[in-house]
Amino acid sequence: MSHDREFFALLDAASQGRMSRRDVLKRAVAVGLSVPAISALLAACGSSADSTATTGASSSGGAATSASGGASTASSGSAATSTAGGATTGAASPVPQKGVKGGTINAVIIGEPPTLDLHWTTATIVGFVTWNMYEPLFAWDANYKLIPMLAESHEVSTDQLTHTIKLRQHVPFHNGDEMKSADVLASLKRWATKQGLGKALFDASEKVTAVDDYTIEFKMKNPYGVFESTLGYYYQGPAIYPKSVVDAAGDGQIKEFIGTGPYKFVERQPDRFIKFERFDDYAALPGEPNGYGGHKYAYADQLIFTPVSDEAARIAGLRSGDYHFLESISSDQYDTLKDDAVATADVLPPGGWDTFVLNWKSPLMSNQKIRQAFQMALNHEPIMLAAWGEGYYRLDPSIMQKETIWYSTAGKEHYSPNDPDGAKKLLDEAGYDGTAIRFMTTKEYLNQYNNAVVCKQQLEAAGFKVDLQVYDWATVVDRRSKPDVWDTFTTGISFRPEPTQLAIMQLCNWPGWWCSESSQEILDGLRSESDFDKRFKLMEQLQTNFYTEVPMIKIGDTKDIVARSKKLQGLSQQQQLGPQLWNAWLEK
Amino acid sequence: MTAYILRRLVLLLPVLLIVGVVVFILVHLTPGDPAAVMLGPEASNEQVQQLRDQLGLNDPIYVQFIDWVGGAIHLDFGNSIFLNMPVTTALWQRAQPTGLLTLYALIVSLLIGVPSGIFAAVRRNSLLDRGLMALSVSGAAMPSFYLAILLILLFAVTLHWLPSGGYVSITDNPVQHFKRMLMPAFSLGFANAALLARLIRSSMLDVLREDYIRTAYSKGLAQRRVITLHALRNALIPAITVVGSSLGALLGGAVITETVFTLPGMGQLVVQSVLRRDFPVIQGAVMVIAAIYVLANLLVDVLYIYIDPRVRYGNK
Repeated sequence: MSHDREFFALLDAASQGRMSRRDVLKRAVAVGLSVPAISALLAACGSSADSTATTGASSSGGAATSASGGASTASSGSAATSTAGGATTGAASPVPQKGVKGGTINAVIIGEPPTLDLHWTTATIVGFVTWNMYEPLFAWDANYKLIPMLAESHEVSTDQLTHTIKLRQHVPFHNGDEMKSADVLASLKRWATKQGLGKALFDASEKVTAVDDYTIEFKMKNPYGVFESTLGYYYQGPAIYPKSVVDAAGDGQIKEFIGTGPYKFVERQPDRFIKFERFDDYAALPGEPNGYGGHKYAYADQLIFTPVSDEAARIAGLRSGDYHFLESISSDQYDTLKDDAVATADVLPPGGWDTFVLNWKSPLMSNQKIRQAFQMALNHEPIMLAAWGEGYYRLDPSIMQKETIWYSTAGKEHYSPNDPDGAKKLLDEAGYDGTAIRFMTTKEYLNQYNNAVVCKQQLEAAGFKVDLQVYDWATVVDRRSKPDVWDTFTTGISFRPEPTQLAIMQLCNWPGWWCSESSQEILDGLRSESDFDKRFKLMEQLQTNFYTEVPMIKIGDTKDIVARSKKLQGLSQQQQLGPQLWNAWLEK
Repeated sequence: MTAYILRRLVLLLPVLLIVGVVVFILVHLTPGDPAAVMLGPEASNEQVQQLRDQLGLNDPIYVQFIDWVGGAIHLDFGNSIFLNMPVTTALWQRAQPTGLLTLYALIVSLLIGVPSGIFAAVRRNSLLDRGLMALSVSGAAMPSFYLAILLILLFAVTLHWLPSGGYVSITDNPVQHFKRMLMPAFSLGFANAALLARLIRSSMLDVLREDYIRTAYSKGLAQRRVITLHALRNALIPAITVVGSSLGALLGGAVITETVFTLPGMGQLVVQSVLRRDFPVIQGAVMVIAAIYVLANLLVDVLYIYIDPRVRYGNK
């Protein structure tokens, strides 16, 4: 109780500028406030430090921002035929030009991937590991536009109903066979049985045929604007396997890991390592690397991925020189690592964003006014500060990251309103009876827990009752699929270069059950429309709906920190979908 | 004697049955869905249900239990959901690191614990005694993961003498194997060595006061002979119990040591499997660990007979 009093007294003093940040900090520590509480106080001390907080690290990646119009996802063939020769246009990829060949890159992953069959799972770790050996038909470039990878070209008929993909010739698989249309067709068909977007693509097509060895034709029932982006889907993406591998898999997982990528699979020992070596016959595209496509150098002789679950062990291994790359570290470790003799850390441009998902099927949250009151009560700055720390987040209303061509501020007046009085009024209008919000979070991802704690304080200040329930992550994932046991939960929404691919765009089929006819209609338009300008307008409408219908609260963008050995060079800052290790090298 | 061992082995069965039932119930009562973990955070409900059907997770719980018991009787614990391989294969792969780690840790604790205990007892109240006992109290008090991190900081991060973690099989490369097992074995074995040293010291002190020791000295035997031949054998009896039960403690401690040193052992497997909700692996691993525990206790009881001829089991 006395803590609460101290907290609000300090909050008052801080927000009115009667105390400096340092004094607030001293006082707060002296009375023993919790870390999230202290962070909230510091945030209230004024926003002078805040603007620096968000700029500090985003140095290079940001430049890719507004490449505006020319982003046709599935426009005419002309855009698509330019086989990645155009090199990097944005500043996102420092192009490795004089890398050193040889050596073994030891990369650390935070857990064992559930499979190396990319069609099988949405787990990001699988994409991170396997895109070194597999390749898609279309890849995302440095500005998050699509460019052909295994495709040579893509043409759309004038009625928008026939998509013709010409494949590149003389592209060998790791088993020596040449990639042909039969392999592509088998892979895509299998992928479509596992992945929702793939299923939607095949459902929307009348006929899919291999015209000849190097041509595939999709006859669609209706115009399909997301054709290319569907085939460029990254996690659980449509990797092209040999037909023989697909046939041998039956209903289960594939038994052999064979692709066309710059590295080929050598050995996997679960919980110990996964080993790849350079594929010497790799058919590299000419030119330079361009985002996730373009030329791939494959400097290192071998890539080894080691799962290390304990962060202290990961950091120790990096500092002792055993490992070269850690996919993600907590911000606490950044200061230690940035001055280390052997290792260093990079703060990346924002990838995903944090959110509180609201349950449209619960008695409480099915009331739009209560959802809007929830939104209105929140001040996002202290929440993000408590969760991520200064310098590791960005406050931004756009549900598509600034780094993509989809950036928009539509609905921004509803972003972080920080209006507890307005929220109270809305609650009164809604007839809120004081039922506690069942708020699920996890300490497995500490930033989610910290998010929730500060959010709880803010909601309570606006008159909500909150029952914070802390579970392990697997339990949260289990419970969130049961509509009658929760009202809100914390999670992160991972980065997607195309809006229809965001997890939340499953609308009524994703926990939270955003079942809105109006949003569904806009989304359908977004999926069928090919013209970027029209699509962009639709996206803005959808984002406006996001802020008025309130399926969830976007809190803020989060920045990942990756740590690497100083020897590891050539990694692009563009890592929202994962690092491009195939273009990295080890200095001797 | 043989009858006694056989009877103990038969008693193993009800123990395992009880453990099996309890683990099965606990695991299935815990919320969390292996199919959802496997398919990742953005999988649709439809996909998850499809995989649950495929894995038999939608069958009634008693059907799953009967299936599992039916398999377990034939030592078939089913397939790991996450690792896509038989549970017995997964356990067997993990047995070598854990088995060797426990063995090395035991050797470390004996190599350090027994001589320190003897020296401390023989030079009772000397500076050496006090020094060794101070070290042993702090050794027993220090959590093994803390010692592990200190060791890594010194030998891996600062001096670069030893790798910070990871496992190399003894058959692949013995030198690398021992380099990687040195720190884990030491950090796991040290606390146990401390315990052992204190125990041996006190039982040694008791024995040294006995009449037959005085007799041995008076018939002119050298001190070394008295200590090793007459005193030690009797002083070791209480220590054997501790070594036996510490086998369990070492297996348990291996979970933490394996995590810090990234050793792919049984402990790691159990922890990871709990997080992944890989039911068959959790069940199989707990059964195996329970069996090892019971067998280790049996081994200790049998060892008693050889060390202390006064001990007899069975019906006269």
